[in-house]
Amino acid sequence: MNYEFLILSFILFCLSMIIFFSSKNLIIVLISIELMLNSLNIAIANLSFFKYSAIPYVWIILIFGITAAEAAIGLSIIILMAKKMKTIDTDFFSYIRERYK
Amino acid sequence: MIEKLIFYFVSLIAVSSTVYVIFSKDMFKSFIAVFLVFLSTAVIYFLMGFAFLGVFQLIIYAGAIMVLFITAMNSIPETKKSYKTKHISILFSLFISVLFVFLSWKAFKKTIYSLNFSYPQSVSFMEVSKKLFNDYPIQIEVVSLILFVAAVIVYSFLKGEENEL
Repeated sequence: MNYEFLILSFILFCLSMIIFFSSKNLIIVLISIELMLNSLNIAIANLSFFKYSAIPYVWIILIFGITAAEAAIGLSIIILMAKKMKTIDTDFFSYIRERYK
Repeated sequence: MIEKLIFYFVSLIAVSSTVYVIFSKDMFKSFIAVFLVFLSTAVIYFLMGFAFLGVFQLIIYAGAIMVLFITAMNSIPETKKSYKTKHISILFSLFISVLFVFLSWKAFKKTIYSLNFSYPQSVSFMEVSKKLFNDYPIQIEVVSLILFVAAVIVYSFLKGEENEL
């Protein structure tokens, strides 16, 4: 079962990377980062198979905390941008960047 | 045997839900799919024997973070809720993913073969707590500080926005 967990986490990470690059919606981009961290957690939990220890648990709990903070800050920034610019389209923000270069 | 079947079933759900998010145009349906991914990850933790990680996953990811996202989506009424995907970017990210898998497999290969696999015994919560607060006090402090700062930042952002309006 060891390799299967690792392979699953690889597949999930790659799929979330595809979401990250292909989505135009900022909230979905943020969700894809959450999915990446989620798959990373599976890979870290899989490390427990190597040696019996509580260290992977500790790191996963720390990652949970950081993920929650990141989601809160990211969402508040997105809400602000959406209220000011009336859109959460990534193309629009790329256009602004190009225009004010 | 049953464990393997459950694992394959759950991982199929996780992968297909993630694929659904790529092609979905409706944000709310994507959230439901992501919720399914988080649920299946919790089941995977239970299968691994990490019961309280599964519980944490259910509480934090499937509970708190998904509710946060759905609330945020509802607080943006002006924007359209559906977006198309960029198909050229899918090809680009597929290429990056394949590259990533290749490089990480190369990196993992040495580590994996040098270690002996063993199925984990269940680690007790007391043991994890001891480890957390005895060996990693600085990390705990840093994470709690990050959470506190996040709360303050979110409050100041949204309060500032309210005052401006």
